Amino acid sequence: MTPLLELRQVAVRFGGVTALDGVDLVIPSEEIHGLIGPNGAGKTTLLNVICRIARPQEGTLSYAGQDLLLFEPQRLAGLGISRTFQNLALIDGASVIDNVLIGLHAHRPGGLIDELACVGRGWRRERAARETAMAALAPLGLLEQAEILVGRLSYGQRKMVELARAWVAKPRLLLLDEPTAGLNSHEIEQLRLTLLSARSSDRLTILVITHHIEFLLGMADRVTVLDLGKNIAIGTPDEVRSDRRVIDAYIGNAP
Amino acid sequence: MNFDLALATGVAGIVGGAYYALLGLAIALIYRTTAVANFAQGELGTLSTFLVVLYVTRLPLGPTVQLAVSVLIAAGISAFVYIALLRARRGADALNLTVRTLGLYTLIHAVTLYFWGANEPYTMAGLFAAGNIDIAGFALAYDQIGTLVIAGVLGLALFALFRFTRVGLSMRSVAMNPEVASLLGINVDRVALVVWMIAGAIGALVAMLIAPVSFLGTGLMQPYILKAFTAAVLGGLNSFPGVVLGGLLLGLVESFAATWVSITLREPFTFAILLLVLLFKPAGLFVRQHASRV
Amino acid sequence: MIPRRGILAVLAALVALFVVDLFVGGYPRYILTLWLIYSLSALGLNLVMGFGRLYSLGHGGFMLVGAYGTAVAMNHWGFPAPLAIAFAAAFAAIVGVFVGLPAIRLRHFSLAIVTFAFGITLFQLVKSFAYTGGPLGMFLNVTGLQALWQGRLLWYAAALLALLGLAMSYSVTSSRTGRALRMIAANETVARSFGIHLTFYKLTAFALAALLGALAGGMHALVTGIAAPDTYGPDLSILMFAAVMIGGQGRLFGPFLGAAFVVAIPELTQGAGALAQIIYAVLFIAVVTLLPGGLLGMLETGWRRASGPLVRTAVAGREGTLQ
Repeated sequence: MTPLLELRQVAVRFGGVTALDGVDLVIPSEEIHGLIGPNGAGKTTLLNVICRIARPQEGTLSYAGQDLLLFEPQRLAGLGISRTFQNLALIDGASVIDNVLIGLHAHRPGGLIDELACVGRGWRRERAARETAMAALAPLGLLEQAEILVGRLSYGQRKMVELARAWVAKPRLLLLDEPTAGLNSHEIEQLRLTLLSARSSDRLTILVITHHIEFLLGMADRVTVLDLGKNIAIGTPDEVRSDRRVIDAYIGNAP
Repeated sequence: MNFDLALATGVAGIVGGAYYALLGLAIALIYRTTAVANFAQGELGTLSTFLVVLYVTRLPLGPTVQLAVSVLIAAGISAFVYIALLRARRGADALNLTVRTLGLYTLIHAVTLYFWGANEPYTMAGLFAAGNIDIAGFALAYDQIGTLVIAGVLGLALFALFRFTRVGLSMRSVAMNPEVASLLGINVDRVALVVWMIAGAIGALVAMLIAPVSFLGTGLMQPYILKAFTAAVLGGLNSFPGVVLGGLLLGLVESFAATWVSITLREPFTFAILLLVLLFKPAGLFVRQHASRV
Repeated sequence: MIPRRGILAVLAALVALFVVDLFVGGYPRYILTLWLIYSLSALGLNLVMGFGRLYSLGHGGFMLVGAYGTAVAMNHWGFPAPLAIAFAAAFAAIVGVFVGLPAIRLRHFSLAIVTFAFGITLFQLVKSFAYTGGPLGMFLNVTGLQALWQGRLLWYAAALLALLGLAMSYSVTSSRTGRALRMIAANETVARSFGIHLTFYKLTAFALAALLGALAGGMHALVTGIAAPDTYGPDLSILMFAAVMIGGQGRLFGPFLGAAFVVAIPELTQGAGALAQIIYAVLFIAVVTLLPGGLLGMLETGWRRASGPLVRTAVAGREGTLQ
């Protein structure tokens, strides 16, 4: 069974800095996969490679059997790849539901005339989209806040809005960049449960980039560990957590 | 086009370009340190020139002193503008501040019109003697040379200021990254104040150089604002040498367009050149592009 | 799905205008017509600037295309007025696409300069050619039109167009297009990751802005009877920019307030002679500095305060759907 996402020997260098040095990453369908490593390990760069924002100098990148390097960043949404961002790129001046609707952008054929005229087909499509967006907000407990400006919500709530935006279009591959940063322990627990349930009900494949190894326990199937742009370990969260090399990387090995 | 005409056009172009370069520097300075696009840049110069021509020239002071007075007045007004207008309501974002300078532009223009509009245009004695000198059969006007010398000196002075002084270093740090600069202990507010004063001084200097050549009227600096902004943009707003080069380039293109193409189509032609440059180098002539952060 | 409050406000305004119209003479009606025309133009600019955060200092150029397009179509080609305006607006939309091209790669300051240069260029061009009447401009034969329906035809036309502009504005901003624009304004890279085609939306924004601006410019030419270069020069671009910012950028009704400001203040201060412009400038600076949310922001805060604590709790955390 071909893996959903497969990166082989990916290398990214810019300006004398080697961000990724021959990295492998293989994720089968419907797996929750963790990507961890200390700061500067190259996790975000790897994510950017997958999203085609960063171009690798070497290596292959395939998704559902296709060479993803042939696709431009704006095509990814149509392929079912969706992501969240570390700096929460939400439209602060727009409502929660408007932000979530952005996630549906690629999945609604739009007629500009329909939208401008605001009648007929355009109207119906908009209503249908709103219902879908509301459905995406429901499991996150944000239904009541749908019309509230995002700028007014707490940080944790805004992260949930971003998540809703990322999965509203029922992607195949969901990429989460530091989803636990800034959340309290209750919110983190909620998030873990939500992701597990979404994986089974929506048949999602999820890649979670995080610092937070504990978050991955009991949730991720496997974890890839990077340090200084290289793979240093791969295994279940428990295996990885007690792996000598991983511990060294985090603490810093001073010979 | 014969050589003499080409040379004359070229020199005129460089002189014009020197004005654009200096004003562009002032604009870029302010933009880099305070993120404000100063629409009132030209008008401040017009105002101080009016004050000098109408009040200071009555006193028996030489033209150099007049120039110095004009510069000081402008620096003072700029400081006042910064403190009173731009620091008010500190939470305001750069766009809001920019719109304030737009209001200031309108205000100063209205004020000069109110007080002095009735009797314009005024004539003003030049800083340099009239007449030309002859270099290898080619005539260069004294005021052209004078302008270039002053512009050159000012340019070098600014360069020295940035490169070799503490103040200059603070300005460059703030220009690069105000937040980090303030974390390093630089008083960003004070630097911004100094920058505004310098920009005002530059504006006054340029106005004093231009006024004797054209007439002194309330619209004195209006044609220059767009060109100054253009020079700043051509330099990428980041690279000060780029701004200088952009200004000179602009002056040359404009001058040759006026002579070769047509004087009425001078502006559209310059605009076309600007567009071409920005098409290939959106971040200016010298700067490498940065990708946006995700 | 259009919020009830919004519809009521618009209906109330329409009724008020109609009633006022019955009682006022030709000059006040002229001023109100100008207000509607500037509002229409500001609505267009608001789409590009307020929602798309693409700062355009060339909006006067679009109005110029509208005015001169109408004049040329009527004088040189014999078009009737409505057809002339429609042509001018359509042509302007195409021009808008071209003006929007720099917006693909340029940001903020550079874009503002390029659009400003565009405005000045058009201004110089129409001044230079006899076909467009040179420095004096072109007179339009509209006395008949202006007298129609006891002078009310153009006034109704302006009101209708402003209403259409408002509807289009609302429709764009509460639709996929508006959301896409706002996402682009927030973060282009992220917008692309959701499949938003940057170029298409930026160009569309400019095309729509040009369309509304040209309609306003064409109406302006019809109402004043002349298309002169100085009227549609760079000063107009700056005026429209100011109107949008002062009314409250990115807000649906902001343009109406901003247009009111730039029309009303000069009118009210006419008696003060040369001092009038100074008063205008001072007021402008005061509003911009003290009311960063624009005039609309001020009205909203005032409404909230006046409504009292009871109403405030009910709407706590909930922004009015007017935006």
